[in-house]
Amino acid sequence: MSDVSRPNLPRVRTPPTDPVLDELWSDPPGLLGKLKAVQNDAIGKRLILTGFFFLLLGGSVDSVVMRLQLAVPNNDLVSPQLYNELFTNHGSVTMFLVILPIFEGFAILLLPLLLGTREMPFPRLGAFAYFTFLMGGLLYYSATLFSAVPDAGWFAYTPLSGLEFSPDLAIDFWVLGLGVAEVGAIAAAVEIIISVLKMRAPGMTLSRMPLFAWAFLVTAFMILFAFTPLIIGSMLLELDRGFGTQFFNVDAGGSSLLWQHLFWIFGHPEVYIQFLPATGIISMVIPTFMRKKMVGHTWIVGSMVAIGFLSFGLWAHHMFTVGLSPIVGSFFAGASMVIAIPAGVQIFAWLATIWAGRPRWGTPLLFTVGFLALFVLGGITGVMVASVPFDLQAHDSYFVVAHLHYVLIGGVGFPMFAGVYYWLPKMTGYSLDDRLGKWNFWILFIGVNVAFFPMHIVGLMGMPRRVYTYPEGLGWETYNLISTVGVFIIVAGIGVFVVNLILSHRRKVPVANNPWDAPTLEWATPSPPLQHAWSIPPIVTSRYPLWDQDDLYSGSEGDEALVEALGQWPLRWRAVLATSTADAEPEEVFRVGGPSIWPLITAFGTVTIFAAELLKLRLGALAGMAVIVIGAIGWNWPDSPPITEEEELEFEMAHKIPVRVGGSLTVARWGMGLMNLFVGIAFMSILLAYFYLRLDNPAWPPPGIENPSPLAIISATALIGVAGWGFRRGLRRIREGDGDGLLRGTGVALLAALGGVVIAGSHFIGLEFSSQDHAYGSVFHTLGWFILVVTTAAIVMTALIVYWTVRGEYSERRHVPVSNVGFFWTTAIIVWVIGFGVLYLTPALT
Amino acid sequence: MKGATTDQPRWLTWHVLVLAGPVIWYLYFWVVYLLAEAGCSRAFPETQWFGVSWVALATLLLTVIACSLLAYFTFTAYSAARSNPDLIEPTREASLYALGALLGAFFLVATLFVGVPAAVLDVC
Repeated sequence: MSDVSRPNLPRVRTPPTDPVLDELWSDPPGLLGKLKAVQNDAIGKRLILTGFFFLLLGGSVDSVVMRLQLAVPNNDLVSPQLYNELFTNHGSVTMFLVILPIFEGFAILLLPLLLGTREMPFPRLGAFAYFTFLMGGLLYYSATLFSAVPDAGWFAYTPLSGLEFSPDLAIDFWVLGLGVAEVGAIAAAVEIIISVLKMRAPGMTLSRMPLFAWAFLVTAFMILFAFTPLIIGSMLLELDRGFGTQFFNVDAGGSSLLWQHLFWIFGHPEVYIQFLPATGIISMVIPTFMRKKMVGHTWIVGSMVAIGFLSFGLWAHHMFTVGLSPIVGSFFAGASMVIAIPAGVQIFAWLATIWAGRPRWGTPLLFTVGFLALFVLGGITGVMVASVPFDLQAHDSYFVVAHLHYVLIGGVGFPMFAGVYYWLPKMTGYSLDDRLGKWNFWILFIGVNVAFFPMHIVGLMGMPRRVYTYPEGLGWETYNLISTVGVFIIVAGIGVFVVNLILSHRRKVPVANNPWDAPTLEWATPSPPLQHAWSIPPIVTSRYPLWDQDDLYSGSEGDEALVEALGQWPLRWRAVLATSTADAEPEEVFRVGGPSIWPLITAFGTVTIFAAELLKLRLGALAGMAVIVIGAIGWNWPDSPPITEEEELEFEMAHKIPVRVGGSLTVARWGMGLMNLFVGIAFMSILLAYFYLRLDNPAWPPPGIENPSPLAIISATALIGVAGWGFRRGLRRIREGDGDGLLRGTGVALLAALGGVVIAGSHFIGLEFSSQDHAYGSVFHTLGWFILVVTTAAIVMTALIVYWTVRGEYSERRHVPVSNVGFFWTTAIIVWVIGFGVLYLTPALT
Repeated sequence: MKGATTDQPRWLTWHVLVLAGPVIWYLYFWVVYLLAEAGCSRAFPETQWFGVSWVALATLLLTVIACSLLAYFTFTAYSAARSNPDLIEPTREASLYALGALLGAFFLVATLFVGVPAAVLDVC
């Protein structure tokens, strides 16, 4: 591995079609155009700016007031109630509304440039993700307007968050507002996964993929696996609060620890969901500023993947004090300690690169080194609290507050600043002032240590967290005062950053396309980039293309001809290239969605459901659902293709690659696969709740409730089986070009499935026990109705397929939606069989 | 789809070798956790096999099985990575096999961290 610094960087070609492509890819002008916008740079910037706005609202103001309150003992600046609201808001906003959307914004903004593609695979899904995040955040914050501010901590433990102790709407705002934002986070994660796996430039194999993309790939999968159980947990909490179910009511067979499990299955991976993107940014900054290729690239990738998996085996280390059995405690302690290995591997790989390189001390590198110092400290205290005996002492003390702030500010905040200083020149065409940047860094670095280091000591001295004041004479006064001073230093540091942004925006000193002599693809494009990012998609033959490649368009003869042709054709629709997962070999040219108002409408329908539940307007929820269905139909309505099948074929013949104007087959299949994964994880989360409650109850069903007869479900299952068979048959027919056969098959599927759902639904309505009788009834009804909702979604999709088949939309070449709905049917049937099998068979077996 | 090396079964592709370590560990972790939860709450917590709690024995047995599987996949991935001699610019597959070997070895250690304490700790 050699040092690198090349004066003649490869440049992007600017074909004469550039202006046409730029116009084709631009969002429409005006206010309506902004609402319809789907371009990744618009969505990415919006996510970052909105996250920063929520940070200013929730992260900074709350913390300043809390620290002022704790500056001296027996202070009465704020009441205990307001203090509870402040720390609840501070934690909730930071964890849900700030860090994650900012990082997802980074990904959506940068990935197309970094990967050498023109756009994310589902631009409308990106817009939907943004609007749901925004509306969820606003719904959450609107609690203040109704004087119903959440006050049960960012974890909302039951029974504190139950109706008995939180009877007003505050917790409903917390559950529902953040629930909407979580939907947005998952939508953005789907975008990120597919773009990284399927949208890379030709030649960018997985081994050549930038570490930034690896970090976001792992993170996005983690979001899918972590946020889904939280959504299910939040749903169960809201069912308890709004519908009288008994999931968390110990007196009726429920369990308050069930909430803790569901919450921390999300909550601990969430820390790594925030940390891993930071490692991606650090791994981009260090090679550039050390002028050295990354030492241990594969080791860092392995560490990211290992952390991603391992983080899902740590959740109960937040629950060491609830009375876990010793062996269960040891499982989680072992897993929590061993995660230090991949984290340490990353640290040593970065240090080795720094050791071997020649540093340029720009602001991004300063923040990177600051990250290393702070994160190591936060990581070591993390290993300390992984030890059960130590945790029993330090739990809920200020030691933990110190630990988590070193991890989150040092391990996440500093890389975020590094990323902004690093990429802002690319995105805006001007750079931030380096001198102010250094002031920004040093003030923040000093402030963080002054504010949070004393918390280690005061925590070990016994100061509990989440107390609004403390008495004199315990020896805590000086440490608390120092921490308060530290927070004001941090505020000054952030102030310097804001001033730097404003001044730099006013001055607009232009920068070169690659001001840092960086090695990755995005720096080859103009600053700011064109709307379509790449007129001619690049060909990649190295991990560091701008350092190693003489030009960006040399590859195999076929690839060269293909990328060249994509610069010339098509000019009437938004074409992108899908490539194979491992080797990034071109697989198909397909059309991505253009500007549309439907994502906004669908997001509005989503938030309407949640808001209606908040107001207990159940009809409003139905209206929201109707809006979502209408929105989804409008979103996916098949508009007339801009070219004929013959034109598609002509390009296919010339370049031996499928052209799919009606939508991608491979990318859409990945999208449906991830949707199925989401359904599967949600289903598994309810199953987990079912078995957890089963273990918690001596009799199942409880005395007084009979195990219901399975006869109705057996007949409904037979009909669902017929539906699945019918749909498969229809799909086979259209693959042979038989439209009538498709209509017959999907028609049979529709009727049979409707019959099955009606029978099962009637059976559930007629059950002798309700969801309010006992935790058994609650989980029985919830799981049963979940299965019926999944099947109903398949029915709605099938109905649309039938309608579009009648309209003649599908042909042997163009039937991607039919394949996708068939895929969803497979999942729906698996969920049906396993779900009803558990409900009706396990009571007899256990 | 080719196997990792010419003398390996065809199903041992890079996908399998990269994901084997994490997936085996994850499944192992859930199984031992649920087993311990069920064993300590409902399923005969006092029962012993050979004078040892059945939960501890089952955990140790599962740990041995998981470690054996992880060792097999780690070794296979390592061998496949080594079969590519070019370490300067490794092929795509060699890099992914190396990644699989790293992950397999790490999760072998992680499995031992999780499972071995069952040999010495009180169970319930």
